[in-house]
Amino acid sequence: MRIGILLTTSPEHENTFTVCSITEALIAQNHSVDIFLMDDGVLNAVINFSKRKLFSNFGGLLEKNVRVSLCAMSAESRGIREDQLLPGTGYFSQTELSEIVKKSDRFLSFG
Amino acid sequence: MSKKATGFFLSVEGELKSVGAGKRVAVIVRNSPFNTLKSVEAFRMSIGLTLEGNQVDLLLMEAGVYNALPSVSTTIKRPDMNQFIDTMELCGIGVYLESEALPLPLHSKIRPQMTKKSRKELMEMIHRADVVIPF
Repeated sequence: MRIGILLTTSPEHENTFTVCSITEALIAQNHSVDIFLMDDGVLNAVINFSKRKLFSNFGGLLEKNVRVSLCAMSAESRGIREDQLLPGTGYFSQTELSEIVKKSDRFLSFG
Repeated sequence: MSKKATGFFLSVEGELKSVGAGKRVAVIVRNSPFNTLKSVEAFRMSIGLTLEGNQVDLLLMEAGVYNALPSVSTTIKRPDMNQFIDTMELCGIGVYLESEALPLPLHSKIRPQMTKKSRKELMEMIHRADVVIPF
């Protein structure tokens, strides 16, 4: 199945852990997952080298071929540049979210 | 539920795209307009969701019903939600508010683009939707 996920909360919210865990479980069962980050959710895709950083395993998900897209307007309005993002992610528009909703067999929203 | 035409259109990039072949989406707004950006972001997202032919309905519930009242959000340096509300009408998005959640004296003040529905009717709309996005 093709699963779409919308995440609108920052890593301080436990939604991040839930989304990462659900996605790993879905991949393990050979489902494909598209994640769209919007609003404070875009902060999950920012590179963070801090030893005290909050849990966010989107880097690991990207290595497992999960597609992670960001709302460009949400990112730009929070002062996030594309070169600050995890490799493999990038700016997209709401058209991408619309396409994910349209094409997914199941769509989950975390906000 | 809002009705949208089905068929094809030529996008600005020159691609032939289908309209109306998407999903029925219910976006639920439960926050009042000013303490958070969530309401206005839900409006923006609703418009975006129509780009691939999804049929979108926006449901204002609980404290979200206060988004139905006219306001000038730019006065307090918040994004202008009026621009989104006007565009939603053009995109065929139906905006419905939970009549029980709005105090009776305010019922006559709601924006003309919005329709009052009972909580039960909104629950039926949520039940019929293919995708539900609470905001």
